[in-house]
Amino acid sequence: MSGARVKVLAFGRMADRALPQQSVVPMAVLRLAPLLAALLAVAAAGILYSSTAIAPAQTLRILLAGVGLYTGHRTWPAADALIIWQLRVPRVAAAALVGGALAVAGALYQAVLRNPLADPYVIGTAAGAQLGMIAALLLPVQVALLGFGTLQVFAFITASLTVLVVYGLARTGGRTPIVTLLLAGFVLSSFLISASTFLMMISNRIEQAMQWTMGSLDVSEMTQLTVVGPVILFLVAGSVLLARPLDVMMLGEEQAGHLGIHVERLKLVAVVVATLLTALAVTLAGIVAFVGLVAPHAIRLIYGPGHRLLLPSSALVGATFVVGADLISRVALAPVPIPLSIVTAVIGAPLFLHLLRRSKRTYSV
Amino acid sequence: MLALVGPNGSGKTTLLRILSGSLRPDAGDVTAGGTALTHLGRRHVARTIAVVPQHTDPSLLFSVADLVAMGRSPYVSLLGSLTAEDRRAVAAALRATEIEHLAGKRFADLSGGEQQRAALATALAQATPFLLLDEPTVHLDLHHQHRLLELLSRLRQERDLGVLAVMHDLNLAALYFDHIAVLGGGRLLEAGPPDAVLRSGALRVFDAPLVTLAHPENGRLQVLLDRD
Repeated sequence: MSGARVKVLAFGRMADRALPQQSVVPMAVLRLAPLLAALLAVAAAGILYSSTAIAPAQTLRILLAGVGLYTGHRTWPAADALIIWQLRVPRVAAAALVGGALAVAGALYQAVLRNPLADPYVIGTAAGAQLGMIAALLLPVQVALLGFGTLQVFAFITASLTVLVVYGLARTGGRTPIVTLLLAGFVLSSFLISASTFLMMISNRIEQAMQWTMGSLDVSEMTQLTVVGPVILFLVAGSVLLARPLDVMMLGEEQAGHLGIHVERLKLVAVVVATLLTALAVTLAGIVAFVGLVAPHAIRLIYGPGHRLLLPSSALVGATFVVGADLISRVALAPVPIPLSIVTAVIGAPLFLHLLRRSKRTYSV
Repeated sequence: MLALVGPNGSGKTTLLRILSGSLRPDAGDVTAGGTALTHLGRRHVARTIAVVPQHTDPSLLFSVADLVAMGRSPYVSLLGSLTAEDRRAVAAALRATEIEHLAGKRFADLSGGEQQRAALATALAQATPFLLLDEPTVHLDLHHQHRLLELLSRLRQERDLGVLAVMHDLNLAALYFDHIAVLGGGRLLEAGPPDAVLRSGALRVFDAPLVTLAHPENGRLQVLLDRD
């Protein structure tokens, strides 16, 4: 993964930021292309390598056959094809979607809350999801919706509801002050986490609960992906429409208003999009730490603060990060899988510290 | 070109915020060209009134060109691409504030005076008939105060702007502005040309021993603090 980073840095330095953006499209393509290449490379690694060994050439043939591009004899065991298409490809796709969703959600929250420490869970999604999950474990209710089980449906609903409550708490007189939003999020999160921890303890389901909160990409049903995938892609693509107004928000809410931005509307839309993305990511994979926090900062360091590039770039970097972390989690201590959040934290935390040190140097110049 | 002066807490900044549309007045209306601001949409207001704030986050990493381009927000569509007209307005604003050579630099790398001019350029790019400034000279040294106010006077002539600035420095106000309004305790106490205002009793609102005299070079009235 470090090879991909170096490639990205080289492109960033070459860029000419002197002139006002004439036609942004070609330059954006130039800057996104290496990130996409990195994602594809890591995704390929994720499909090729796993705890069960399947020869790379075989894997390639199976993949080509699956998309209808293979004309030779099919010489592989059916079980191998099943492993590739039912296990590895969905898993890598889920990892990419989760990483992309969380990265964009993190970038959106950081912009709206004007707080570089904001991550996708800061105003309550994680705490809400956790409570929903515990409720699902304890309640004698079974739900199956679009391939998702009780746990996931509950987690999605409570994650979204929590942010709704936080937003409602923070809203006074038609405005939602950012500080109030952060405080309400913090307070409600603490409360919900205490409640769910308490429930976990008295119900003796700690192990089951921990497994989920640590993040896991075992996609049991393809329908999960076919439903959630397009929604995530749609939201990520749509978020680019918010890019220019979000840039202007960096001048402060009052000044943004002077420049014609509907500030309250922008905040609401950005929070809704970011929350949906986070809730969907949590539904697919539980709580995955650090992606939403680190990916946007890494991109800002290389490509600057403009959101039109930041949002799609963060998505690609986040996707790459999670696909890579998932690969490591499966392979590093094979056959024992390491919980995903542990891998993302172990890689993400030092990475974040490194980025912090580099950005301090940038500011002091 | 109107200067709004008064002691701390007299309501200068509040009035400015009401005029710009940030704050809603409890009573009364702000009209621009005959239409009340509250009847105009937000984008329309932004095409009528531009505000140069007192502070712009000095650590912004946007390039000066990108920052000034934000002044075109009231004209730019949702997909946000700049038209040729937008680019012309940005270039003109950079030229007018004499920071063309800084276009590619990051805002955070500029000096305080340069940042102030960049903020002014952003407001100029909005191409509005009215320009509001909140204490534009308060963090500037003498050289930059002079340059900024000269620039403002010149721009006001060239672009036929209506300029209103909250000024903390009475003497700068008297030197550069052709109208002064004095606020005290939330009320308008006096308004008129500088000579008339400085001679009126309105300056009592500053609650300080003051002496008014004519500038030895240009004859305009200036105010000095007296010390017993």
